[in-house]
Amino acid sequence: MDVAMCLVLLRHDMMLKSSKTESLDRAVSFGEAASATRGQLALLYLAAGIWKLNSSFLHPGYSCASVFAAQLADKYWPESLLAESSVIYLDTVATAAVAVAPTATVMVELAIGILLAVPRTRRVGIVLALLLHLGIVLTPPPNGATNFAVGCAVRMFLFMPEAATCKFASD
Amino acid sequence: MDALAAFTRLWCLHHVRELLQPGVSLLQLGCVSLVEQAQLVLVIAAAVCATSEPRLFIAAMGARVAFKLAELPFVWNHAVRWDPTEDLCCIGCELALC
Repeated sequence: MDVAMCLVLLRHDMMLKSSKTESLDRAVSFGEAASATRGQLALLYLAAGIWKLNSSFLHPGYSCASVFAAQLADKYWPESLLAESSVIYLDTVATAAVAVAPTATVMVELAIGILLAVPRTRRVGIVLALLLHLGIVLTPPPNGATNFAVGCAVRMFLFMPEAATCKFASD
Repeated sequence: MDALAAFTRLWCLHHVRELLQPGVSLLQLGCVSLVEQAQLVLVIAAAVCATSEPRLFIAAMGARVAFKLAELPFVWNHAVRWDPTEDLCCIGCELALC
């Protein structure tokens, strides 16, 4: 992804050098680089979802999604809800989360890939992707893939409409 | 500041955080290298000059990609192992971001 962006920016830079123009046409350059990365990112989510369609990932006993879900429930479940009477309820919720997490993760990743690929549904895709990455970032060590999640979240900027990104930048 | 500069700064912020964070990297293997410090300087310079010098962003991005590719075997060896299928998924996603 970064390689593609580098290459597009470099190509523009070299084209402008050869035409002896002094300033780099930043908007065109960034627009092309962003477009290349958008396609790759949508494909990444789709591929990640498809790759997880295997017996290991979908089995709650082995899946890292189940471990993530269990860790999140353990770490962030409000203590106020841990009264004796609610322990059975929490146990049920946690068991259900662990069982559902692998399938839910695959569904969410496939949905993000499709939503990001279609211009009209991009905003929903961005929100869903940011929620997924928030969950990953909040997972306690050693299992939270924070670097990866933040790296993907940063690239969501490229899906924002050009007007919105310019407005954001000028504020 | 235009969209390219804004994205440059977001990207740089993420990579400064990544470079300063102890994790599974050459840093943790006891190789607090000049290479990593040089990358940090380059990334910070790219962020500072985001509005005027996009070539610094290209250089920083190139340097980070090269370093991450060189680092992948170390990440592979130190990854928390679930099973090979899932490890490949993690490594694949890291590679895709490069």
